[in-house]
Amino acid sequence: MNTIRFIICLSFLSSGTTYAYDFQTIAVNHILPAYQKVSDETDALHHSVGEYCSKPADKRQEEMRHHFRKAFLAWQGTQHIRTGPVQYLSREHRFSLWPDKRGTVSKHLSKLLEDKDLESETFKLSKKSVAVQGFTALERLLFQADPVNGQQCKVMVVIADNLRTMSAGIVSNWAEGENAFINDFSKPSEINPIYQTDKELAGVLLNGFHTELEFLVTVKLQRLIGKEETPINVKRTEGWRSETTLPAITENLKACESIFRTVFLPEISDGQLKKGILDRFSTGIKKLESIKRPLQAALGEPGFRSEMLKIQAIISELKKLTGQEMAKQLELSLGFNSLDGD
Amino acid sequence: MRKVNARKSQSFLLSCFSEDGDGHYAGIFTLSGELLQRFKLPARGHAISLSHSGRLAAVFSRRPGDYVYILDLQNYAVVTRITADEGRHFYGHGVFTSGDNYLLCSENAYESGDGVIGVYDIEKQGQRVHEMPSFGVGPHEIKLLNDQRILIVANGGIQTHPDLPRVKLNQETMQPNLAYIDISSGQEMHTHGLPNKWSQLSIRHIDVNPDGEVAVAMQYEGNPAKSPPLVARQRGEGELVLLDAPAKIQRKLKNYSGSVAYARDGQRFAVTSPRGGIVTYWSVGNGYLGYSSQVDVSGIASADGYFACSDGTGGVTQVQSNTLDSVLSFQTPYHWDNHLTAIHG
Repeated sequence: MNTIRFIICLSFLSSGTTYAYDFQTIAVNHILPAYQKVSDETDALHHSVGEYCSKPADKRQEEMRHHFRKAFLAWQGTQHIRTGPVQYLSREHRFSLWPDKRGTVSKHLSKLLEDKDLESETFKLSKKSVAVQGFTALERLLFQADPVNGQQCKVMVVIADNLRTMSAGIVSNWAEGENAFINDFSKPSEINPIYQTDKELAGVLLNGFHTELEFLVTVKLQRLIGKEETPINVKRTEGWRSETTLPAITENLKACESIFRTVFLPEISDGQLKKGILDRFSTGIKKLESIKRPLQAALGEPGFRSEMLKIQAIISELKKLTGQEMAKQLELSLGFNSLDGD
Repeated sequence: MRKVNARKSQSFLLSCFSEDGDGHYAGIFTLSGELLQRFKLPARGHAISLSHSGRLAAVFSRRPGDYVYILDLQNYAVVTRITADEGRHFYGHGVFTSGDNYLLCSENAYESGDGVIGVYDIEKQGQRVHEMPSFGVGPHEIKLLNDQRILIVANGGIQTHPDLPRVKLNQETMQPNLAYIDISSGQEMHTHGLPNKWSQLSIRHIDVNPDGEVAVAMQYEGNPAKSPPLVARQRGEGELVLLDAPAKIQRKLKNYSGSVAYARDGQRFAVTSPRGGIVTYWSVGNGYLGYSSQVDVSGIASADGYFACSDGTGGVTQVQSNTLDSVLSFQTPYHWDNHLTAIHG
């Protein structure tokens, strides 16, 4: 937590310029705490995986799985931030590879488990496929039905260590040293190498959280809705092994609400629009949190699909309200080509 | 319904576009924005190439794409759909050879990571008849020199694999180049790389003027706090000449360019920057000329005396190529995709 405290102190010392958007406060109050949480939780996960692998026991396995869920959900709470150090060194892809339509994780994990280099002191997971570096691969090993063997434990430890290292790297890149990303993030200007105007940076944040809403509607929730005549295949949902499918979606939506409140709410003058957006966030989150049963049990209930359709509709409305009405009022635009990589 | 006829004096615009709600199309528009025809695509498209006669167009899928549609522009019909060969995917660009006989496509042989050029016989319903190396990794836009015998390939240098569709696998070891290939033999004639310090500049898009000079638009994969040149020109066996805009403008480019097009006289060219929301203009002899602003601009094509610039918010502007004055031509409800092609009447 020392890094965060240092930044908070810095923000008091350096506050003096007034911005329409107070990006330093946004970083300090929203972004850094979210990444710090991932860093803390992946650190705890790494520790518990090490404990389990040094002396496997049921209780330790349960603790390890508990820490996985906490770390994985902490990561979900950052997925709407699509700028800055999370993009260095392809980290965003290395943390998690989902959806995995071609079975890439399984393929590369099998290779890794047979990799003789695992024994070597010079072994570096960061040099292996991005598919085996994060939560998606680790979940397969931690939540398998069969007992974990020695080789699998070695892989679990290196993946957990990689997650911890990447998380700490993001916090460090944001907050430490003279090239700390927060310096560029806090003060858009013509001489800033990353962001030249407040409007540009606000647009980047809007695009990040709008893309997250889009992903919830078209992928994460859609996989819980499927087609009316076909039973939902739970294995197509994110985090099904660790039973974090719905909690992950809830974290995503809560994080979107949080950045909306921090960045955009203070700038909106239209009270009706504010209320419309906040009400939908609140309803969507309440609906998701009201499903207490494990997903597999909830899936079989008659009202489940229609409830998911309602949540999907609410988030679609949120997309429209923020991406169109709010963006128009704040003179921001959603990217299409600017989000591309071609 | 009006039909496209390249022999008559009217000009048209071709582009891929998307609608809200995930519908993807290739469309033919008049210069005043009337949509003459659209073709539904199975997934997002990228560039469209016109055949020499103006009779055919090839619509390329966005990487890692698996389709190319050949369209008959006079009858508004799909002639054939080409599907990517086993172990290959399309990169989104290609070019017809003279006589409309063959289509050359930039492709990824993704298990080896080698760039290749697939050769498709138009007379044989787009059958894949040959393949040659692109002499680099990650070939993107390809163009023929005016003699129609030499292919120029923008080898972006970025290795990708369809298992990890948007992940760049070799950012630290990229070696982009501009390769000249004799298409009759498939042999490399000469290649042109970048200085070591800019090896993370991905050479992505190119255009060729009537004098054989190549305008190059690049994207930087390195430290975002750096602001390298993103534009270059190159000619014959000469080296790539990097071109800088003034520092203030250079920062606006966000280390990313979308596409490049010469004016019809070949003396000026324009480079779009969707992330910066600007188009920069360059003179063959004197370098940077100026810029115009347009949110999310990416597609660009030259028309008589002006550049047509399309953007993701649905707009198409005209920018006079001599004065750089900009005016909105028309607004559509579509997200115009990365590239714009003009059919000149």
